[in-house]
Amino acid sequence: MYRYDEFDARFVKQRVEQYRGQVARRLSGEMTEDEFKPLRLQNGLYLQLHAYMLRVAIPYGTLNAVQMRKLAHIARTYDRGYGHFTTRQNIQYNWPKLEDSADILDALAEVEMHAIQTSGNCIRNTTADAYAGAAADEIEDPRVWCEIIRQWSTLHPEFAFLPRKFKIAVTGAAQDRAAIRVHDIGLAIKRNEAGEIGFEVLVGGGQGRTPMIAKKIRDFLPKDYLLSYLEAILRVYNMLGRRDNKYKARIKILVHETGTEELTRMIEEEWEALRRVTSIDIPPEEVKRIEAYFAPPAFETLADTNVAFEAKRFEDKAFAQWVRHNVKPHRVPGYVSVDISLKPVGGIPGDATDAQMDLIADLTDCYALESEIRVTHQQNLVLPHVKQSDLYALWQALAAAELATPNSGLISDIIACPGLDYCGLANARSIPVSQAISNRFADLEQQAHIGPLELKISGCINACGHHHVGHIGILGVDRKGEEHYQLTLGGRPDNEAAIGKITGPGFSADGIVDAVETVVRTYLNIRLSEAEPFIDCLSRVGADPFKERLYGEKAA
Amino acid sequence: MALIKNGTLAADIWHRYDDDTPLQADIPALVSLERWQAEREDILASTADIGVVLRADQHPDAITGDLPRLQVVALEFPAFTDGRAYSYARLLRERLGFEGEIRAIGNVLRDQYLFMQRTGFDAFEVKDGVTTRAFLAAIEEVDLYYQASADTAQTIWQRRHTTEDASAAAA
Amino acid sequence: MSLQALTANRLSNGRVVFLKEDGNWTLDVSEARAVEAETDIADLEGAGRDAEAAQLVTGAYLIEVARTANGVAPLRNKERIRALGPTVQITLNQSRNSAENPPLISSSSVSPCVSPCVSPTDSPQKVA
Repeated sequence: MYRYDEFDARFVKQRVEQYRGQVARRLSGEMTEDEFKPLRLQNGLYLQLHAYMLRVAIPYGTLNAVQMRKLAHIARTYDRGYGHFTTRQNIQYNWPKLEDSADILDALAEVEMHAIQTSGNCIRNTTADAYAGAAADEIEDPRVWCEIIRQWSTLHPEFAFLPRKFKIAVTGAAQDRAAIRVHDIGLAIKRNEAGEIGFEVLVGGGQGRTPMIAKKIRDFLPKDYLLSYLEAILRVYNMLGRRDNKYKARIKILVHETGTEELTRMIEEEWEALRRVTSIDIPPEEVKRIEAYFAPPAFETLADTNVAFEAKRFEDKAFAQWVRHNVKPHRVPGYVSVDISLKPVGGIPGDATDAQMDLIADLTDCYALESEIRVTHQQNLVLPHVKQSDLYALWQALAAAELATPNSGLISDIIACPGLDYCGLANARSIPVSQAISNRFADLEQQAHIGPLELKISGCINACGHHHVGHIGILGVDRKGEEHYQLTLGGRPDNEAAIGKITGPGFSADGIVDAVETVVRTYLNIRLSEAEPFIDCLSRVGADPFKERLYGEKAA
Repeated sequence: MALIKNGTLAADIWHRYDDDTPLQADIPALVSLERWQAEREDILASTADIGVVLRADQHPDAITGDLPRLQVVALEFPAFTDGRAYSYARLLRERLGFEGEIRAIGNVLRDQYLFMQRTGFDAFEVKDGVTTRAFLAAIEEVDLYYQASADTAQTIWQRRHTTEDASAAAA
Repeated sequence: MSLQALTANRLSNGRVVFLKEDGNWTLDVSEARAVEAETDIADLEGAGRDAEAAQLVTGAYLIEVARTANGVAPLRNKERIRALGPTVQITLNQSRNSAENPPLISSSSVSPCVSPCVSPTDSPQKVA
């Protein structure tokens, strides 16, 4: 993974000192809250429902054991002993003090981390396939270009005050696991007919109040031109994106109102003009320098299968169940990627205590090549490079800390935003609904029998819980002071990305749990076989059979 | 309002006219784009130095042909959170080759000086009381930049691969 | 107007606070000064502006409250949660099976917004 050199280290240090000065000016009254707010936001500090909240960047979800230990230390020292991993592959703390915030950033800088641009109307943390560098279906590791985007976008002077926040996601694999079609810019690494590597460029995806699937604006961009092309997109957006209405300020609205063809023309024209007079693109020797950090780890030459592992799998049913759901194929024989579930039955999705983080760091040192950890956009963790032969020991240690729930990709692997329990914007709570559903489907055998099913919950229309792209989506709303929940079906974030459709009238907090159960029971009754996952069954039969069961025959 | 020009506190010799006041000869005049477009020939005849003020919704393309006659282009920040003028400044410098003064006016705050300077602004209408020292302190807080912009500063990407800096980095 | 209290966040640490009768700020909503008369409400707002100007608090605003047997309580759901803390056990992933920390959410349903999960390290206290 990438490591800071002297320049990166000095840069982050300078930025922390700059922020420390800003906090001092705020506390002394030299700066108003209105002036301070965008500055603290661009350093990751929000003011939430109960307290400040600090969002720490985990670039493209990649971190190492030393960094994880520091995250545990921060949770313990400056917060209440836990942190929350987010769908942007970041971590956030719910109770930091403003007066401690510069010290926290200093602690992060010690381990080559920061909170720069984790909020604000700027380019946010770029996200990537959590299995990058490990996945069997990968064309090229997307993290090289994610790191280049990170450096390019960091304190970019032209794009610090965009009309709205801006999110970029990159995948390097055939199967999109980074939800690139619901990002402001989605990049898919591909190989052209001449065998060269480049990017397919998508623009204008997003969730929120007006969900949209991104439009392709370029089929193939040679990778050396990525930054100038991004700069052209951002410049057009910065100048033309709407600033009169924050709900219409994302680039998806500009794409929609201008038309994909016309906006593409403007971006291409800007790109041509920009390349004539300036050299925005990163120097090739610098690309090489960054690439070197992402060279594959020193894999051993191993057999495809490990006999001891196979034996344990045969003997220990619980282990076999975990392997079946939480262990993913690797491109190198004898290795696998391991999903660490942060979704224990009845737990809070994405939360981890300081002790759990420390333990994961220790296990990473023992069992994961190069002590590397990933954060997934599903709010779980991944150890990307683990030997099959180490799996049993790793599983036992994870299980002892409630980190081995075998539910990766199943109904209790729920994405949920913090909702009204923490968030100042929310209209309804998400976490208790998530917990109630998780408890309702607590039987892991039953979950496995139901099969792959992505359930996502947002506590308001900003859709931080990705409900629009949940196979089953739940949106919390406020109805005359009562929490109320709408149900959507058929959303998906992958290669066939789609926005879920509302089934009909919403449900009470209790009713929504029953409604989910009704949907699942209906699916189990009508699926062709266990081999037909929920989302496929739904696209085969449509939503009507589900609506009939939810609302009675007339509704459908 | 104080003016910082080329990094130091400077006297502002420019008068910003509203659209109805007659221009006085020999006083450098800042006029709106509307007035410039309506009275271009008269303005050119009456005074020596001319500058045009662009609002955040007025793109520099509107004055492309006029740039050789303008000493100043003033770009307005209606709120410091409106970042359109950063792009305009870069276009003026990098694409349109404007070498005169690009002045930041409106809601121009300490924590944005650096972004403005890097995108091509060289004059800043700042709050009264801002000193040269305070200005320099603000723009020197972060003096390492990854990406190229309209300034001539070496980027981190370049410095990593030049000999003195690269050996410093390795130290 | 209905019964109102003034809330804000303490600037230094962000905690939710309420203005008391004596002009100090408290973490405990039940101790909040609740008023109804227009002049009293204007008084609250003035106190909020003063405290903001003195960098004591930020984002002061009025909330609707009721007087209950247990003191002043917010009326709206969101303000109740804001005043009382998250409705979920905050270190649930680790301690949900412990007898001292029973889950707040039953397996069959979502509980109404009830008791807060107050951390022992930050019990309600006066703000200077």
